[in-house]
Amino acid sequence: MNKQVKQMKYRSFADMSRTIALNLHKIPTDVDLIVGIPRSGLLAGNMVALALNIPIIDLDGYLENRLPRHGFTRKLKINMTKPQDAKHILIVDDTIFSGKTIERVKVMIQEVPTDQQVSYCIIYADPQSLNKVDVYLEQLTSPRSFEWNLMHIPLIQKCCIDIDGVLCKDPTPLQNDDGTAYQQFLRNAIPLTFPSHKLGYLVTSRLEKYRKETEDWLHKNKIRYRKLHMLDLPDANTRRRLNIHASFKAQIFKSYPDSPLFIESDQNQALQITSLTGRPVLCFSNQKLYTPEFSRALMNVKIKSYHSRVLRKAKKLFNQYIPSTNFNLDSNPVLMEASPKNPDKAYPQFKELTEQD
Amino acid sequence: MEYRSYKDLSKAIISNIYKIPNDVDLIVGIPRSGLMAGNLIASSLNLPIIDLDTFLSNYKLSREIKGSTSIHYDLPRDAKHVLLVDDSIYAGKSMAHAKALIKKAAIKQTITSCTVYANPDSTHLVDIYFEKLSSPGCQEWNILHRDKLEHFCVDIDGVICIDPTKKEDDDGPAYLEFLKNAKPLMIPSHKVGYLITGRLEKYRKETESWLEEHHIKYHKLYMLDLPNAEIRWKLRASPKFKAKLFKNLTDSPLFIESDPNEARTIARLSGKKVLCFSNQCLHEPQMSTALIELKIKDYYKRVIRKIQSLTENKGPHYAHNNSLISKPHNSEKMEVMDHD
Repeated sequence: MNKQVKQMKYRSFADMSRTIALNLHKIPTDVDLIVGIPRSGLLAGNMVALALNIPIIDLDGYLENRLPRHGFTRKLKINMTKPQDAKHILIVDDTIFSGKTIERVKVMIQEVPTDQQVSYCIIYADPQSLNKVDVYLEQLTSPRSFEWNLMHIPLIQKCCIDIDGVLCKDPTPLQNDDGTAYQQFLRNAIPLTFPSHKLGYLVTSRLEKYRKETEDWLHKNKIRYRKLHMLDLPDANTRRRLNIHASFKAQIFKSYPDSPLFIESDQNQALQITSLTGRPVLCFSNQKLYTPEFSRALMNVKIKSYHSRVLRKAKKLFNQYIPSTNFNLDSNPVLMEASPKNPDKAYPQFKELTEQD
Repeated sequence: MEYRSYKDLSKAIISNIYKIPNDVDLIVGIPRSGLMAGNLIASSLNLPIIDLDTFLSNYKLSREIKGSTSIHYDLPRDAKHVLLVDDSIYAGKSMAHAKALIKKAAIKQTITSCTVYANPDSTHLVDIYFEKLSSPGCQEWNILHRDKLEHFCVDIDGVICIDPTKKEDDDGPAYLEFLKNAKPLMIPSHKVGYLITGRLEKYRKETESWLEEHHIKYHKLYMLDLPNAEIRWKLRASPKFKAKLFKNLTDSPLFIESDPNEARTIARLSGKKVLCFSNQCLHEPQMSTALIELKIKDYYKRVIRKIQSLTENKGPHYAHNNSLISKPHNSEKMEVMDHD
């Protein structure tokens, strides 16, 4: 490779919740109110607040000093006060790039007449603006995209997107009969996503003969797009026999060199497209980004686990013929008796074992 | 007992989002977890989200709330169709309370109530629900904050405090330092049933004082009674010890463990459910046997397919002549293969 290509990064809701749960120790322990910057910062703040079990309020609520509300089902860890009486507030946003939003918020917060401690927390921070925040949970360079804004950012105008499983629900096996039931499905497919921009290139393995129905459905659901690529084969049986879903999609994806991402619903096809094109593919159904490095790593892991399985098997066979002197925990009668009722009795044998050593 | 993680929640919302009426133009969340579920819906539909109080008092929507949405009103009351969201409905108390508040404020807009999870008996209490979930199941966002915690078994390292690094885990002075100053991760708000840890019995004093310092109440603390860490490692005693205790604690339905491999082992040995905290996967003993069966079936299928392809003496499917797969494409494919 002669050019260093910046790798695309993607984070889903599940990734964010994990990032928060495993980095909670970075947040100061005396924080007693979370302030979320709408909309996605409010979501991140909400996850933090639920994990720490402290109240959350949005930025406007804080500036106007409204009392935060919480549900009946669980008790808060601390007594609630008016937001501006809290001792230490944590202002949470999901991402930071240039830091414009956080600077605007800082100005607003400074006008509030209290002397409470204020910390700023970012979940995914770009390395160039780390000095603008107090706490960040993970460093993430751009280009990056997130599950909560993927369909609403300008980047989507360049992406290649699959239709079934991304824009609408997949047909059931009954509906997928290449006949009247399928046409019925095409007309009344259930939409899954509601993009707010014009989409890039729609690449589907639906057959060319269903172009009119597909275009009508897209128009009905107000989905705008640059171009629609369909598979030009006579019928579904031929398509099944040739099994070229992935290679067709990979070929189209290759013909758009500036397209940063392919959004595909099926996991296997996503992996195949990645390995055929060497470019990132997002699997929509499990919200994972497949990159060529990832698929290579996956293969390495599989090979390694295979090796270790073979080794373990060999060891087992070997041990059958040569009786081992190893201490076997499962067959130890004392350990079997060890129960919560008599924890003192447990493991006297281990002590003897070490004394012998 | 049912368990739902954030991943399950977002999946449930994405696959059921079509149930929400087309003309909804404002999402109102019931704090706190309803606000979180509402936020997921709002970011999928690209609509503004506000909490219940903002809606009741009709505060002006700020620039941040509007964001990249394409709405034209400034006051919440000017929205045409409002979606009231909570995460789950069991007895319907919170939803009834929210509805009463809205009625009191004399709001005349169309309001549709919606929950992600609904108990089968209380589905009639909401207009839209996404998924049926019997009994007040546990969710990732409240697992350590519910009073049910009194019956759970919980691991310490990796759940309540962060895991020691390799340097710190030396079974000597650095480890003692770690035990004293371990950074807390998720502090439970209720009394924990049983703390079961692979830490050694000789560190009981340090562990107990750390727990007291962070106001963690618990029923009982079980520690591994082995002389040193090397023997623990040699015997791989930690998961076996945990599984045996967990099996004997018959009133405990769930073990919360930090390490994925240990979680799997504990589930297999104890025959009970284990939640892995670090990847939010619920290990069920029945599931693992089902998984093994699936794997065996899959293996037989692969063998049969291989035999078939050998007897028919046909190449792979790609070999058919097709105009769509051009020659340069094929050569590039080979390159990728070489790279692997």
